[in-house]
Order: sequence, then structure tokens, then C-alpha cells
Amino acid sequence: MSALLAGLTVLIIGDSHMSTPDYLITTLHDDLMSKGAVVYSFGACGVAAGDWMVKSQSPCGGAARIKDGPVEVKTGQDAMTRPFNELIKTYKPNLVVVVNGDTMASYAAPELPKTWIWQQVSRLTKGVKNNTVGCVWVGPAWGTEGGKFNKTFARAKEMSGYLSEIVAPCTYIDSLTLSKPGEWASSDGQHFDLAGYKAWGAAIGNAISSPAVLQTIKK
Amino acid sequence: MKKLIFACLTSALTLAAHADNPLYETGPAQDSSFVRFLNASEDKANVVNGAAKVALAAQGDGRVSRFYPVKAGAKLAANVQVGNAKAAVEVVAKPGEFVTIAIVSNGAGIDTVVVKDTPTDFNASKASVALLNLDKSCNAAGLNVAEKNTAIVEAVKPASLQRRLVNPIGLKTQVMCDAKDAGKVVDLGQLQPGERYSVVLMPGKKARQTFFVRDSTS
Repeated sequence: MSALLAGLTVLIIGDSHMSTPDYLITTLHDDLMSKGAVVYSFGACGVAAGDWMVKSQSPCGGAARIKDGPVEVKTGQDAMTRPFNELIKTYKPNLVVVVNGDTMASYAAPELPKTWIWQQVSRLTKGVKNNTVGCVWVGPAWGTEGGKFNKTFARAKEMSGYLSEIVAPCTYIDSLTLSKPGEWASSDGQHFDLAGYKAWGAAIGNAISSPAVLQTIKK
Repeated sequence: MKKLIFACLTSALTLAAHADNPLYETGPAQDSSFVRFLNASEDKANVVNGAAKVALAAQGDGRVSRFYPVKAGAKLAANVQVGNAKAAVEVVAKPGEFVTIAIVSNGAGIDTVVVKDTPTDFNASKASVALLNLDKSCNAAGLNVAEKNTAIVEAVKPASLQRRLVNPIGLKTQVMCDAKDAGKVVDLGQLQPGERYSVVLMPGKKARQTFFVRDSTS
């Protein structure tokens, strides 16, 4: 327990990495709480960034976690995004953490759909600008090559490089620098075991606690 | 002991469940594409596609529609009308392409000019400024920072476009045509980071005209 993030209210929104217990909705949420932040987390599996501006149905489940409460798993029609403006109004965060990259990288397609990604990211960053809230954007981790999502290291690198140029005013957290390729074990190329999510969550938490990021947040 | 076995079983089942994430799409199979209409005829214009109709003003911001999302690879047909003059236009947009269909005067009739742009310069910290040359009599159009003669883009051929990332500053521009001033100074105001702009050079009935438009998709 530390007081590094004391006084900070954090809203985390994200894709499948935030939609299952023991994923980042557990490990990153716990890490930020252990540093003194009040944390609200919402996950909607398989959604793109722009889906967070409106109420959107998740194709594969979701989860929510309020402060030190348990992870509430959402299934079927209960698995939805909640509109960003409504989340900001309700929880009044100083910092928004967006965990989104894998669901927009089109791993199965030959080309990265740059225009579509730009549209998706811009919709959400417009919401961030309009609400003048601090923001960090967590990009995709290496994962492992192959698996049912057809993820490759080359596409993960291309996607991460592209996101780093288009997520402003959010500060980009490059997850590729937080591990070596394939270092965190994955059963499907994209999602990690508990050890992987613990390492990823702790590394994101450290990045958020860095002076470079904290300077960008209004308390 | 039974409790311990049950706890172990529950834990194992939970881990198994975690490992089996459902398959979901990680993005579209092909990139988005867009089409917009630009009225450079100096008279009111209508664009009709089946039941859909877009009315374009003769002057001002209403001369240009927003970029409408379209299906890449599909043939798009529309009829354009200015007064009694009519023209049919057909385009096929590639994935990631932004297509501008411009209407220009040609004596008593009208022509359409199709300009295609496949941008790769998306950037949320800078502004993207393009010069769109609709004047077939201008072989080499350029865009300068006004009064400074600093080139933003050069040698833009008719029916084409070039763009460049610039810092989000206040920007006044002068379009050049074959190294001479064309049209009036175009004041884009304070550029916004992440925004995209097109400065348009068009043949006017009396003289060349210039103006700018935000490349809006919504």
C-alpha cells in the first residue's frame, strides 16, 4: 500500500482484457487501488474504441468493478458499453485509462485498417477533450503469434506504433516495452494467464504513477 | 477434505474457463471508404442517388457535403444537376480511400471531376492540410504560407490532391498556379490538432477561386 495515487479517481474502460476476473479488471484495478486511487472499471469484450461513446452491445461478455467490490461478470444483453459522457458525469474521474488495441488491429486482414481505426479512436478522444479529463491509452501487448485471433508480433508492433500517433490528448502507454515478445504465456495468442495479467497490470500501474503521466492530470 | 477437493475443482474449472475466450472480430476485413460532393459550378447543384438527394449551395460552406461512408469496391452511381445541365457520375472507392466528386462548369454544361485520396498521415497532434486542384488550366498548383512564400505543397496536377502534416498554428495560405498567385488569401484560422483540411482551387466564371473546407466525416 502506498499513497502515490492518493486523491486520484480513475475510470478504466477496455475490451476483453477488462472483461474477465483475473484479467486487468483484477490486476490493474488492484494495483491502482494499492497506490491509493479510487478506481471504477468497465469492460466490454470485443468492442472498438468508438463504441464507448454510446451504449453498444458486446459480442462476447463484459464486466464491471466498483472501488474495492468484486468483479461483476456481465453476459448476454447485460454486457454493454456505457456511454463515456455518462461515465464521466457519474464517477467524476481525474484520469481515464483506455485499454484498447487488440479489437481494432484486424489481425486476420492483410492490411491495418488505418482510416477505420482513426475514426474509432477519434470518437473517443473527442469525448476525452470535451470533458477535459486526463487520459492514458494502453496499447496492445505482444501476446504470442498464431492462435485463433491470428495475432502476429509484426501487426502488434504496427498497431502500437500507429496508436501512439493518434491517441492524443491521451498519453500512450506502449505495452510492447513492458515485456519481451512471447514472454507472457497465452493460450490463444491474445489473452494471458494470471501471471501475465499480474505483470501487465503492475507495469501499467507503474507507468501511470510516473511523474511524466502524473503531471498531465488535474487533481 | 471434501471442501478442499471442491475448492481445487472450482479453481481448475475457473482457470479453464478463463483460458477459453470466445472468438470475436478484431476489426473489419477491409478499411472504411468515403465519398463527398463539392459544387464548384457557382450555381446551386443537386446530387441524386435513388431516393437520396444532396443539395449543394452556390457559395460558402454549403458548397461541400461531408464525407459519406460507402462500401469499398461497390459501384456508386449518382446524377448531378445544375439548372438544366445534367451529368451522371460513377465511382468505385478502394478501401481506405476518400473520394471527392466535384461539379465544375463547362460552358453551358457541367463536368464532374473525381479526386481520390488515400491518406496515411493520420495524427492527433498535428493538422493535415491538403490542396485540391480542380482547375484543369492550372498544370502545377501549389499552396504557400501567405506572405511568406513558404511552400506547404507543390506541383499539384489538375484533378488531384496533395496533403501535408503541419503544426496546429494559425494559418493563412495563398494558392499558387504556375508560380503566380491564384485566388484570394485563404485564412484557415487556428488549426486544430487532429483536424483535416482541404484548400480548394476551382475555375471560376470570371476568375479562379479558392476556399477551404474541413474534411468532416460526421
